[in-house]
Amino acid sequence: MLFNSFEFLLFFPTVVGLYFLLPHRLRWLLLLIASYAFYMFWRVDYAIILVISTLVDYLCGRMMDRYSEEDRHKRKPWLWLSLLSNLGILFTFKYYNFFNGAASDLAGLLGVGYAAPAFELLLPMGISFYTFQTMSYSIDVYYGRIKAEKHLGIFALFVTFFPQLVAGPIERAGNLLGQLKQKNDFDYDRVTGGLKLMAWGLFKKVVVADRLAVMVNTVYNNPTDYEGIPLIIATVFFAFQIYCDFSGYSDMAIGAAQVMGFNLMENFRRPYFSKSIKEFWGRWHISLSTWFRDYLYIPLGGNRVLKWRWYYNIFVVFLVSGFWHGANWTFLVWGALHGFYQVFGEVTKHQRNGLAQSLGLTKSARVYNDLQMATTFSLVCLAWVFFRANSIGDAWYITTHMFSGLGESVNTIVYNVDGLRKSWLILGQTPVIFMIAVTVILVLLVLDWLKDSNVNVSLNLLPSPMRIVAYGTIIAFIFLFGRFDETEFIYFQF
Amino acid sequence: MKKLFIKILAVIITGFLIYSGIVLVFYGIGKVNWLPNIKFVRGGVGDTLLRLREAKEAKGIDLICVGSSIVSRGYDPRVFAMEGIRLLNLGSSSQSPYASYFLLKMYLPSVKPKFVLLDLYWPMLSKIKSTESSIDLVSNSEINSEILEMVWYEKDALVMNTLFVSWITQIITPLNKAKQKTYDKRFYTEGGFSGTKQIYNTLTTDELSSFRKHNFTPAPIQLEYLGKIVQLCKDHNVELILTVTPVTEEFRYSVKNYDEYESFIKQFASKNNLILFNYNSNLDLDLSTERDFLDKNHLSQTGVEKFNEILIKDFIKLNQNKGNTN
Repeated sequence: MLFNSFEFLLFFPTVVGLYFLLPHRLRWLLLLIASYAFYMFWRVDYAIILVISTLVDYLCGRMMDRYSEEDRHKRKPWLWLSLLSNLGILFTFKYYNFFNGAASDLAGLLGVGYAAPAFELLLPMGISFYTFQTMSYSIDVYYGRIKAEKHLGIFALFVTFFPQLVAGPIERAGNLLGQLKQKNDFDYDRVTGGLKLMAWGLFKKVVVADRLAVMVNTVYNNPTDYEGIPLIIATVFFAFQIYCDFSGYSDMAIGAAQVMGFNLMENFRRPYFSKSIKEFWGRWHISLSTWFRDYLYIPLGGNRVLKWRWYYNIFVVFLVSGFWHGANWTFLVWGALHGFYQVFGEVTKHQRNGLAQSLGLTKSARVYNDLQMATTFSLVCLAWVFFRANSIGDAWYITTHMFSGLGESVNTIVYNVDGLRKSWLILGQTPVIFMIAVTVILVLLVLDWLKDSNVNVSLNLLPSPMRIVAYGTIIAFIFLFGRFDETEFIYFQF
Repeated sequence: MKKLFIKILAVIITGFLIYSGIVLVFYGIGKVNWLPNIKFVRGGVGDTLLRLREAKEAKGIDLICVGSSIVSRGYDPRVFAMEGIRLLNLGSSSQSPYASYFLLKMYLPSVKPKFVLLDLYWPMLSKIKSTESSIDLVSNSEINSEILEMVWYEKDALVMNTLFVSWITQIITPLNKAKQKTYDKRFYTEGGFSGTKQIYNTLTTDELSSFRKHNFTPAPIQLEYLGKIVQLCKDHNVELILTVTPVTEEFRYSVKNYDEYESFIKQFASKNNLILFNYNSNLDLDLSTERDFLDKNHLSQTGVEKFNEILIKDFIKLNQNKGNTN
């Protein structure tokens, strides 16, 4: 089920209504049934993967808990069982065909016969999210950071909790498990806060992301038809599309959980106002970047190692992060680019600072900050080309043609489809739709900028009638300008 | 809890008022279609406004035909009238079986025809959504239970928003006073036929030979509504006849699995014990792409006449056979 679907409009109030009507002892059961129903609405048979993942990790957690900290080596086989089963599920459904194809290509190059069958398996929705969530649970139990959950039902709910099941935030057991047992009473402020967040998330998804998607797809599905400005516009639009798509989902997930009394972790913190790539990763998909920090970067040694090894650790983490997003070379290059940015940034840190000082850029902190933000945003956009492109070939074409033929390229963004009626199209859309897209991006940027400058832009500061008008306007805009063809969230595919 | 419901209600009502205000402002300046989620086409190119206006008053009709624009532009009531058959053409732009069902549900009880001709054009059977057709009907029909039902099951923001505009517009200008736009080289004749004065095919030889190859895949929603149409006709004691209106052979060849499409419609007809007239594989019908078609799939007036004459012969023969059997 999608948050932006008609079905969810009926599903969510029903679940929330029942949640507050039922006695506390039965609420976990309601949420568990609702979570499975939410998932099975997409596909019934794949719920079995959730069941397997739940049972294996529950068993491993309980078995690990039998041994004390001193006998940690006895926990190890159970940790491996948990990790291998989760990674095995991921490998089978997400990566097998990629490796099989790569092996086949390699064998072809070497002239060796290779014929392993390809699986025609549909990628289970949200598989990378819930497997990572359960793996973090097993690792935390292994290191004794948390106790294993004894209640199978509560644990099953931790794995499948519907607001964050298919696209995160990837929660830690330490934060969520305890909350699932708490009794949450109806709290007016909390419920309204959650609903407002959901409305804002829906606005970002259907009004901003999905509107931009049409124009981005027009260019990215046939990139060789364009050069210059359309490629730049489509890439910048994609940067905002993916931001609004994913942060919109996160807002709805956090809002939905908040309505029922649960606090999920923040997943985005105005990432496009970052002044470095390192800062960007502290603000973008925070639940994933902290997951990689805690469960991969630090175990690899983090920065408490020799310099070359530190750079290696950074690069490996970003390469794996790219691969987490999808079994495709484009995601690997995207991850590698971010790894390269970070390593290059560290290696040249002193030289860059020296250069900025010698050029007098640091005299005005504001100008210097803005320049850093613009540079970071440009680098992020360049990497997004590889993330969005349908193939490495397309991505290469886009990056090499973004700044060529700028003058002539105007003709390919704006063209007259019918000389008589003067119907102008910009990236395949009417000028009105194009202008709406630009306007909502600007509004979003201003709001993010105000928040980033610690200006409290909360609507709660307004008097009640004004607030009602503001939320009514958001609803009216969702209906009038949103796209409702139930487009999936981009991150569902991961 | 009570406070929350009151607040939610207040936000919804305010949202609705703001929404209505924006729509009215854009409607007032004549630019309602600038709003991306509204596509209001009252009195538009398909003549649906005039067709539905006629259907509301129609009596003594022998035959209703339903389907997409190849029907509204392919079945000429004047040709049928020469053989004493009264035809009401209820074809409309991109009309899928989904939309046909609601149209028939709307008009079968009042028009009471003896026969319904349902066109099984493959692109319409493949439609996952019937947005274009629903927008056309919502813009040009009075708002009744069938229209509301159609919009409800369509679950499309564009259709829902257009319904709202149509409703507001009908308050300002009643449907019977709404004006049909006129277009060069196009005309409308009594009985629901949208004709054209254009004589030759406008597509070049290159265009005709380069249609995108595609596969026919029936959409579950259209299959469901085909079944409902069969039942609806039974309920109203109307005989349903299935037809396949001819298109250019170049366009037909663009369907990679055309045989599968033909066997699908044959099976559907035989399963439901229905007569199927397939004029895409009728050897008696000798149509020229250049002269008898206007583009890949719409017949020119000469094509319409040739096709309708053969269809009428088949129709009469069918009734004679029935008479003999009875």
